[in-house]
Amino acid sequence: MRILTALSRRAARLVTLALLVASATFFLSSLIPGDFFSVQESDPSISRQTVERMRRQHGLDRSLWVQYALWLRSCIFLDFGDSLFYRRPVRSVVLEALANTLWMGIPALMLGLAAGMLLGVMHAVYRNRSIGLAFDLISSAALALPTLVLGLAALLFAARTEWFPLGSMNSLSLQDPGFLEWLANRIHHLLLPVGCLSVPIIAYVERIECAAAQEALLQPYVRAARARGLPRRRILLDYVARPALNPVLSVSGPLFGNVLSGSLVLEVMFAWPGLGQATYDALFNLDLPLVIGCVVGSTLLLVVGNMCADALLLILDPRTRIRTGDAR
Amino acid sequence: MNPGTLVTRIARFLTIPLFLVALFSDFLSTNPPDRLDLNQCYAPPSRIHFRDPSGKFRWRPQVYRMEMTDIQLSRYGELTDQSYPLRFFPRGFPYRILGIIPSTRHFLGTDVEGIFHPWGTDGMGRDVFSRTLAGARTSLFVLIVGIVLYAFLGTAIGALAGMAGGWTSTVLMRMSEFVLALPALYLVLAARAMLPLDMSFGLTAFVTAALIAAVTWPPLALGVRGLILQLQNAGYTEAARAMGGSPWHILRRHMLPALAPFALAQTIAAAPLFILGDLILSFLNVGFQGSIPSWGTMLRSLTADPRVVTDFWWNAAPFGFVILTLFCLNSLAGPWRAARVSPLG
Repeated sequence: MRILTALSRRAARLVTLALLVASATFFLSSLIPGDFFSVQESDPSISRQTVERMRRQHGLDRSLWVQYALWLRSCIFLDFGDSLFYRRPVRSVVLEALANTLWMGIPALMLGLAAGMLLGVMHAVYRNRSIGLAFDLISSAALALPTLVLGLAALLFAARTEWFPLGSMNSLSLQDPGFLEWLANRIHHLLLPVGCLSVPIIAYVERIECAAAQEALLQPYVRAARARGLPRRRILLDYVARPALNPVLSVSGPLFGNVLSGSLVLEVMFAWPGLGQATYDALFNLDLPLVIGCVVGSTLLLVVGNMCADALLLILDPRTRIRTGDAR
Repeated sequence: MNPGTLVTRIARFLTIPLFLVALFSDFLSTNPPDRLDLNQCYAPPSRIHFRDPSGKFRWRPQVYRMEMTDIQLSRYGELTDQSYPLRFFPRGFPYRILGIIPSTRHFLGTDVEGIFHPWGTDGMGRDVFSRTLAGARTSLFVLIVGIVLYAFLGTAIGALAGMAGGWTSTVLMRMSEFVLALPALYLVLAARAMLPLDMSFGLTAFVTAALIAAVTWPPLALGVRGLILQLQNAGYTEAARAMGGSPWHILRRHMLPALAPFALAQTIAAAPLFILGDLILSFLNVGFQGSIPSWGTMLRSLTADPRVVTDFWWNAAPFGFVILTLFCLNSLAGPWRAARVSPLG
């Protein structure tokens, strides 16, 4: 029940946040000189009247405040207008792009969390050996490497060796594939971007997990478990790794932020038709309804991700429920 | 001493030469960074010879002019009929040392411009070495403007929230939570693309730095506010208040000196974000435009033409600089950077 109240409070905040972001983007976008149809004005084959008619059709001839009021009214029904470039509802364009971003983001997060936790516990266990020092070095180097640099390195690597396909989500040569063949092709396309996206996450999670596991290793319950003769694997999994879940999950905010920003850069770099690519294209086409839709979509994605992490934390770690009775 | 700290120390020490390279980039350059030469597109790095055209051994190293042998593939050969000796402190293009003292002397080069390209040239025949150094200067500029804005914004908001209390504090803290929950890069990209793109160098640097600071200030503000709340209970603050000190006086004389180490450490920890943000924005075509040399635009050219990667690899030179700079700045921040992940990806 507590989980539900905490989550519903979060959801109310989420709606406010999305509305604020959308409004800010709306007014910011009014600063741009010209609009979507400015390009066609300079095209001699389209008459001035046609351009004006198109502007009127999309309501671009009205004053800013009227446009804002109309836009706000349709927002209540989750309708963000039509994309001027794709001539489709913004909602469907954004949802499609969002799904593509998740194709990249979720595997990267999974890989980052799993590998980071595993390495973190190993780091804590082997702390005083030379492996521990290697871990120290590699993780600090990996934290310093931004996704942009990693992505470029991956591009250079792929172009040199030609082991990986570059650009888009599936090969064009794939005619009429079976599901397995399609999946294998998709994974082949995903390997490099997901790898680049997960490196900073692995390093970050590893750092936090290592610190938490070190603390857990000193706890009396671990010594008691060892004294009872429990197998080593069980001690590490249930007595060391599990209490260390909390610090990892409670930093999900910066983690998701990093993944979302990183995927924007990687999408542009690898021509992956996700949300970042959509935002980038929409900005250069001056397709403002789509820009606003994309910014709102990315905000929602981030906040919903954080909500999921909070809920997961409340479910997985009983201590958070007893102590505060509220979402963190 | 463990190797982790040794590497960190070396990286910290390396920050000083990096700063110097950025400050004296014009002096170290061999060519003007934006000098075009369309006969020298994608020329490879100059080879240094110890033999003159007649084949006689010379102690003074010399280079030859590159000439295109294949226009389609941009292949080059050396014109061996005339050699150009390399010397220290030759005269070259005019510039100002630190932007003040006019000078024409450079560190190393030939007497004639456009011959010696230590790291080759890019697609427009511009010298990659000089552009990389000038890019360091651009990054340093953004970095300095950025950390000043960041420190000011974070400290001011945190101090206001801590000193004022009440609803001011609530509003400001809600606002910082709000900013923390936003997708940083999407907003920076959208906001930057909506502002005019062809601005002067200084204005571009300012806008880039300001946008990054605008999405990254909350950790500093939250920390400053927490410290101020703690300091409100300190004996000397109470004494100052009892003697009738105004809040502004207490903040300035008693709180800011106590806050400074924390604020400084946080600001240094945020420094890599400004290099990175400038890099990403320039890479996405919304940062520095045109002929202004910056690492982001140089890296962008790597993805523009597939031949750059396979044949003209020297164009990837800023790559190493970027990695080195970010590593050094991260190690500079030390333990405060211990577990933080960049909101810019």
